Amino acid sequence: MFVPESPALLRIVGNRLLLSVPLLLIVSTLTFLLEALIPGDLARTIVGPQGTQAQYLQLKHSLGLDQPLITRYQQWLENVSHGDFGASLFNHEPVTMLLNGRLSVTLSLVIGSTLLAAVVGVLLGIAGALRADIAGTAVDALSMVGLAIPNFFLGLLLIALFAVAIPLFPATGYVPFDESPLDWARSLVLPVVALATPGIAVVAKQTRDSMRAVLERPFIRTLRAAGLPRRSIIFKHALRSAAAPVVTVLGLIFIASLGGTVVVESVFAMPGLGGLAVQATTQHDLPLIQGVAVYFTALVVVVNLLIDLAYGWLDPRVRVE
Amino acid sequence: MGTMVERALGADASGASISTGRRIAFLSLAVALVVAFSTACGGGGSTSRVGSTLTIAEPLSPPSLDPATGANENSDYFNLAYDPLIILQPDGTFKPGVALKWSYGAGNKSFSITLRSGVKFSDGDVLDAAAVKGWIQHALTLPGGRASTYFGSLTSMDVTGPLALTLNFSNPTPLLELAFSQLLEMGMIGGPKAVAANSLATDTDGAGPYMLDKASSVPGDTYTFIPNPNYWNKSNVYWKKVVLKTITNPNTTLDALRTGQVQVAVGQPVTSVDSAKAAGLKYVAPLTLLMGLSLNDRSGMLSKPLGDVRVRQAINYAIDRTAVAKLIGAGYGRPTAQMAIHGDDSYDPALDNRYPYDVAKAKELLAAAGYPNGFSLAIGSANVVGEDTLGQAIAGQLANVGIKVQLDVKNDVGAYFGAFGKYPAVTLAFGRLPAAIDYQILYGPNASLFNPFKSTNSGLSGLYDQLLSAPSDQAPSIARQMQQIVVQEAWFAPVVASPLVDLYRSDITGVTSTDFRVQEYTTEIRPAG
Repeated sequence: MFVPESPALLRIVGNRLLLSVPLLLIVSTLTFLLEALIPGDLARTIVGPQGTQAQYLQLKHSLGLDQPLITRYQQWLENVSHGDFGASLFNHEPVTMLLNGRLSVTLSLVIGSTLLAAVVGVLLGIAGALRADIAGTAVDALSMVGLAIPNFFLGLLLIALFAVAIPLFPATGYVPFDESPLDWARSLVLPVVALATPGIAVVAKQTRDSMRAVLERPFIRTLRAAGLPRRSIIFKHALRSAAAPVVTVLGLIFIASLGGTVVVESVFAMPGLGGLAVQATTQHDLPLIQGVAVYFTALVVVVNLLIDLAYGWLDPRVRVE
Repeated sequence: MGTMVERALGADASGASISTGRRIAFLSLAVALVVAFSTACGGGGSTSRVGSTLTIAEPLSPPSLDPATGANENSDYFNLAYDPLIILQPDGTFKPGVALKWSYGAGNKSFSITLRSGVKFSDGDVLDAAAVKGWIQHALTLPGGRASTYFGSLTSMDVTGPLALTLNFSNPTPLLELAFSQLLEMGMIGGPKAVAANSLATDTDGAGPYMLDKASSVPGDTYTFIPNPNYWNKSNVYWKKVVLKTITNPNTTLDALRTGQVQVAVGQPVTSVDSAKAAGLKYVAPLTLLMGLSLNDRSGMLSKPLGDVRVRQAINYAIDRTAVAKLIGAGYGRPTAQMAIHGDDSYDPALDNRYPYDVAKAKELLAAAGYPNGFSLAIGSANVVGEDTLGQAIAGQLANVGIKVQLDVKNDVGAYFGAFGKYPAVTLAFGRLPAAIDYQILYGPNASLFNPFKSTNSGLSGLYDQLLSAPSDQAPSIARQMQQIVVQEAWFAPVVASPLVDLYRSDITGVTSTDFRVQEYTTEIRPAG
């Protein structure tokens, strides 16, 4: 990883971190308000149709749901300022424990799919740039197909093919890395492919367009005239020059994949943050919703920071600007 | 983000070369990926774990692991760690569980229990009469718990010996065998230390064959149970490990069953049965839910026509139950015109055909009530267990007799329940329960959710009072009379008894549900052969 060494980059890092504080505050406030607008009632859901009105009111009171919204928000903010995210109103487990227990699943999925999109997408894009005829058309076609297939459908298709018909991978579930690295990898293959496919298409198209533009620039002709090997020109000089917009796209893919995990985790029955976010929202479990929002926002902040650092690595001018 | 985009737009050539260290890092990453993927591809083979581990797919995760909540929709999560005082068998009879014997006192106003000796909780404490007393007190004070539905008039509990106690009630209180069974869960006793520590919502401490292994569990997703070393009946432990895995997507559940990742899936939609059969899986499809309309506004406060019994009866005649049952039950449902089916205490075979599909009769009744051209009717519904589809089907059929339905479908169950009082009628999917409990929570004057307009009927109230104090052999006759009134007054428009399906692999046995016990009992599930 590139370590910021110039004042400009250090300033960017500092600014990003400073901005994250009001950003988290704004996101948490908006989440709180939006949740209040969603119709529904956690106490009624838990008590169920068999519960009496007295049982419902008793539970509502014990959960603090009869308090005004502003009071509940103030209390949440106060607890968070002490590092306490509270407990889930639904299953009473500490929010931090619930989130941390699922973070590795979602990170495995999102990082895995972003890496897969980067490797496969860049290779396809380079092929498309170098072979403008058939390969270029193929990349375009793949991009369209990749974007057009919903990942839940692709997930079900992959399960039917590679878990049921040909039992290569497990159909569902997640195995922690520390339990078995091999089973961890096996449990990730199908969901990562399902999650990465739209990203591969986008990266391939971006890389192809960017590489084409770079390959037509004068400095490439100069390098060719100087007799540098073709592989060196493509991978060392052209690709690096074309990489910045691809990095931008990869950052966006990472962030979009966080949303994509909601569907993929459901299809593959994986205990990740996406599924937890849906569960918490449908259950009106406010402390958990807030926790998920804060974690997702923090992830986005970190990813944006890493992308800025990547620019510094790719383009020396960033380090001195 | 601004910086990111600016750099993207301003990208240009760079003469800097990639350092050797970074190249190695890149190569390492690529190798790691290739190894991971190739080992994955080479893994192959079945993922079945049948034998030492039983994995059950559950459609819901539980809000609490405390059986005192009485949340029987989450019964599997309680069954493994808590043996009940009394066990409900598939034929509807009861047998001893943790309690060896029990008996009602005069007029069903007391209930005496004698416990089995040598029973311990998983923490090693002895399960005795004092523990049962403390447990019932805990259940009655647990926020949101359903104990007050079953023990509402409890006045005292007398511990008459180390293993004996008597419960005393101010009003007749029948159905205590059922309340103390695994079906209603009030007899699943938790350890006094765990009660005092307030830990039972997230952990277990019962006298059942298994106990929760928290370290191997992911709350809200996976609950792993291991054998309870202090269990009193070791012959009832069939597995080294039982995993309850929440899988909300029915397609994913089927795939997990096909590949052997799970051996049993409970509470599945009836639409999964044909696919399961094609995959060589077995199934039981107990008729679990009574589905139809609850014609709540029986005094015509929001919709004047519903205040007339002839209009409510017309609605019953206007519904083609056989057609709707085919749609909702996918061929596995059973049409019904009463709020009970075979196996329920209030089931009366004569009522099955009380409202045959008869459009002419429906129109005749509407005309007699003063609505020859029909009327508009708002019906609330929710997109759970097919209620919205049911509502649409009924709306289409009521249109044939001039009743124009405005169906309002809610996406949130809590919001739906909260809005019951805003509609003259709602769609209903109600579990099968004895008449005395139906009266309390479905149609009696105190059934707040399902009787928002407080309908009353003196005949029903009188019969309910008789039912409470009746000996068990006389109770079904009274229950049937109550059903006759409910059907005659057309308080509901029942349409279909619909199954919730349990699917399982052929190497499993003991997934048993019947008309008399609609839920499988988790601890009975064992390897076949």
